[in-house]
Amino acid sequence: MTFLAPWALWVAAGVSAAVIALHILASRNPRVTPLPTARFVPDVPLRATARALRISDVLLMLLRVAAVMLVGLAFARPELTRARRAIGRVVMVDASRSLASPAEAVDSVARMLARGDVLISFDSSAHPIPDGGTDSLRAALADTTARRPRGSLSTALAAAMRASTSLRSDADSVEIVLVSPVASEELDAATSAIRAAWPGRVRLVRVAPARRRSAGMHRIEVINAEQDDPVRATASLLGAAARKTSAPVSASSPGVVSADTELARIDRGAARAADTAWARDRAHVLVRWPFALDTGGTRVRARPQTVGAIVVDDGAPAVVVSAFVRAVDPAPGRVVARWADGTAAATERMLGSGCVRDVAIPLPRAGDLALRESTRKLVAALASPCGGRVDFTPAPDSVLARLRGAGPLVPTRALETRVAPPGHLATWLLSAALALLLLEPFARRRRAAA
Amino acid sequence: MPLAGSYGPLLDALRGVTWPARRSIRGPAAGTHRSRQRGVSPEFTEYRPYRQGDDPRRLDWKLLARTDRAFLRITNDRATLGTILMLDASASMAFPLATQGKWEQACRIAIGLAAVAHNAGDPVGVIVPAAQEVVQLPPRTRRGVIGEAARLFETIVPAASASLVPVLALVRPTQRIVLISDFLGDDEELLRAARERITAGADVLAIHVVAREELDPSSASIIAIDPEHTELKRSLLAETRAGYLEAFAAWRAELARAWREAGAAYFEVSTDEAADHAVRRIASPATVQARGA
Repeated sequence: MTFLAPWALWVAAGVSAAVIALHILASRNPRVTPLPTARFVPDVPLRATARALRISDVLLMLLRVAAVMLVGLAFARPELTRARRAIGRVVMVDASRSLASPAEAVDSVARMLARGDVLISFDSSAHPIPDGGTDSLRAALADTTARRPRGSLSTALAAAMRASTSLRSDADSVEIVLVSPVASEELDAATSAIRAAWPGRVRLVRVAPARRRSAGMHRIEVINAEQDDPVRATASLLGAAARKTSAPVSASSPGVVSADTELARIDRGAARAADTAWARDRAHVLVRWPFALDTGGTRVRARPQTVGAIVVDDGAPAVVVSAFVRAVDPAPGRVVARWADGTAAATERMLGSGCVRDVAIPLPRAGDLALRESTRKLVAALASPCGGRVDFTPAPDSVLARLRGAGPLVPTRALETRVAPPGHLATWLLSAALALLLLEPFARRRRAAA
Repeated sequence: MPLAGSYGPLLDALRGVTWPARRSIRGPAAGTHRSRQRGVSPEFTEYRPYRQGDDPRRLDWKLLARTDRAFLRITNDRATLGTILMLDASASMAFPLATQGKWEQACRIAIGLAAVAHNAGDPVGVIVPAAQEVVQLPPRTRRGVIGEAARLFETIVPAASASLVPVLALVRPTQRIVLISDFLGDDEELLRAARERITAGADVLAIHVVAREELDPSSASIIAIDPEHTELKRSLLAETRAGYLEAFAAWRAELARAWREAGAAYFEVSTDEAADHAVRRIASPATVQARGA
């Protein structure tokens, strides 16, 4: 057992000593005893007190001392510690879309994980596995759908550093183990800085990355568009098919695709439930970009504003400069395109195995905006596969070397002490102290009766 | 409370002890005490010239025939002396509460003195003013009177504050009166009544029974309460202990002086003194002569 605040024990010992001293030094009224010659005792005030050299009221004193010591123990915050291990591990396992085989990741974790280690799965956020077992991890990875989020190594490293403090009580050193394919898309600008904050080395256990579907399998079609629709014109430049309605795609239609082809459908008309179900069930992309923007899931602004440009930075970067009149905002979701002031111009929501994008960008019929290269990039980005840019290529060796680091294992005593909430032991000790204090009146009554 | 049978060792220890009267008495029958009467005893003492009015039967006729002088033959008579034992059975005698030491010591001394007097042929009686009534055993010389007295003591439990003063007036002044008490009750009135008895010719002995716990109280601080006057409470502490001892000793000294000045014999007996030793001390002829001097 260790104490997080051992000074409280010293304080309790001091208070107990004071209690004992009071029981020794406390004055009390003498015992009433018959004495036939009492008349010869000098007449002094009857309530004179006597100072006892021996301890008085032993039971009462023991109760009080025990209560004080229990309170001191509780405030000392005792912790029952297991036998200390040489190395404790924080195992971070990648559960993002860049992971090819969850079973491979689970097997790698099983080889690394020991009793008492911390297991955390991560994609765009970290998820501690409560009981730290591979069975729980296997169940967690099995729950993920085919549309797993993009991974973030920055998130994983931050979570691992935070969780490492929990090993302070039962391990001498801490090692972070990263089970991940370490795809390029999992790195961001903060990764290096967060990695530098961890003074020790990181063990990398690389697993196979997912295989990206070929770009040629992605097709675009525009429906419910007029002949002079600018989006239709831009899409046609991208080689997209165009149909008047959203009738089911048939083998003879221009939008015929093979079964594994990912299709993006730009709907320039009013939103319909059938289109949403199509995207959800067939892993397609539905782009709701009505010509009249105030229909569908958009939110109409109180006052239209003129914005000078639209920026797309996911996938192929594109900037479309024009005098856009911003009258509506898209529905909440992952931002796909932004106005020049940073607010969302187009958002994406995952829906089943597909996704739905809401676009609030007005494209005028007049002018050459639809013919510009930047507009083609904008339309291509808005019709890109769900989840945005996908880059499963392995990170360069230089990045991997920085991730591993060359430092020693981090001693747990160097970790920042985490302020833990009072444990159950402290609660029990305080309860016991309260119970003893409740017994004190009975002890006093017994003494009075004696 | 000692049983009647438990006095056996005490009575054995007192065998042969005599308890003479401290002055000549006017006794009715032949006893062991010197009598004021002169006359018929065969024990010759001296001659005295005949004076008119003397009984001619006491003339020494042989001497008159030889010397033609008339002398009376003087002899010392012996008489018995009735002894009344008066015990104080007030609540203060039941101290210490656990052992009743003062009452037990008073009973032992009474039985011892009664046995000594009874062995000398004196009639012995007991008077105990108890809480409800006066328990008494009239003076008798018959066998078994000691056992009766012992059984009488067994029936008495010291309590309340019964006074010896009223019963003292009931005793004939020609007797020996033994007051066994702690004198913590109405000691002034008792002394006054005893003085009257002494003046009338009684031989009064005041035996003061004192508990060891009274002479040397425990050093623990207590609130002392008078068992006969419960409203009297005093704090006996380390600070007041010396004052208590001094006051108690002064009172005992004054009590002894007052009784002796009144003509009584005064003895202080502690509860830790052997009863036979105390009885020998009280009945000792040297002590008696000193008292009589």
